[in-house]
Amino acid sequence: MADHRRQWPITDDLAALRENIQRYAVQAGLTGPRLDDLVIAANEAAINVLEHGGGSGTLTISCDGGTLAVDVVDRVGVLRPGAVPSERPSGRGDRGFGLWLMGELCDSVTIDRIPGQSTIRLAMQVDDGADAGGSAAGGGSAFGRGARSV
Amino acid sequence: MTTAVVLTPVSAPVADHVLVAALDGALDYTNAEPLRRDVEALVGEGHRELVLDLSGVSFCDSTGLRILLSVRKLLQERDGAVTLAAPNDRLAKIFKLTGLISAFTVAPSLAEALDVVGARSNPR
Repeated sequence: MADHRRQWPITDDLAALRENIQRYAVQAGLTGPRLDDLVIAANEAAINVLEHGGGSGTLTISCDGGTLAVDVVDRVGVLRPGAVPSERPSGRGDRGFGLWLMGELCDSVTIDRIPGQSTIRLAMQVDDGADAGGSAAGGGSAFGRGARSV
Repeated sequence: MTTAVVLTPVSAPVADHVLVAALDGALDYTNAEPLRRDVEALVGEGHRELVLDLSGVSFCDSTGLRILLSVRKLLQERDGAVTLAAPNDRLAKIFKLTGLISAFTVAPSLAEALDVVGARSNPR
């Protein structure tokens, strides 16, 4: 489904990044508090890249078979699988806090690491009844320009 | 380039030691640190209580929470407190989830926040 994915560089223009994520997620059928949750979590993942991940990276959003996924890639590869704390860290400023928050807000958070690159994947099921079939079977049109009103 | 967050003093005379200010915009990693300096500059020597009207804040991330906590510390050092007023649903959820809600007095509206602070300042 490479034709529906969108990718943006992570810069200090987080407001624009949040708007891009929100626009895509709405088109994919995510609404209400879960839409907020994904935007907040993706913003936290982007902050991680700016603060701890070498300061540059990319955010890719895609939707496949009813799963909306945000992949945030850094270029240092320090972040390891299993780094998401299961309990709330006491320090609100450390990296673990943002990761914990992502885990609380998203259906799943997975971390992949290869030398020089870590990827955080945030996933949300798009379980809106009206959209579930369409995005799985006819995803091609769902993301066409103006295919769905916002 | 990035969305600004703006701090504006509000005229709401509760007591001389109470500072009321409104925050507007999106509070995130890119503007949280300047905001901390703005708040520190606005809090005068005689202020012990700060009421922040958050009704104009559309977004707050973990960096913003960190700044709110550092502002709380600033007021606590003066034996005072920070009261947060009118957070939107998105902010209220984050405050709750992160436990921040227990670190502050949170009121659903500015009027109620001022009532709380007024009662604390002028015990009957």
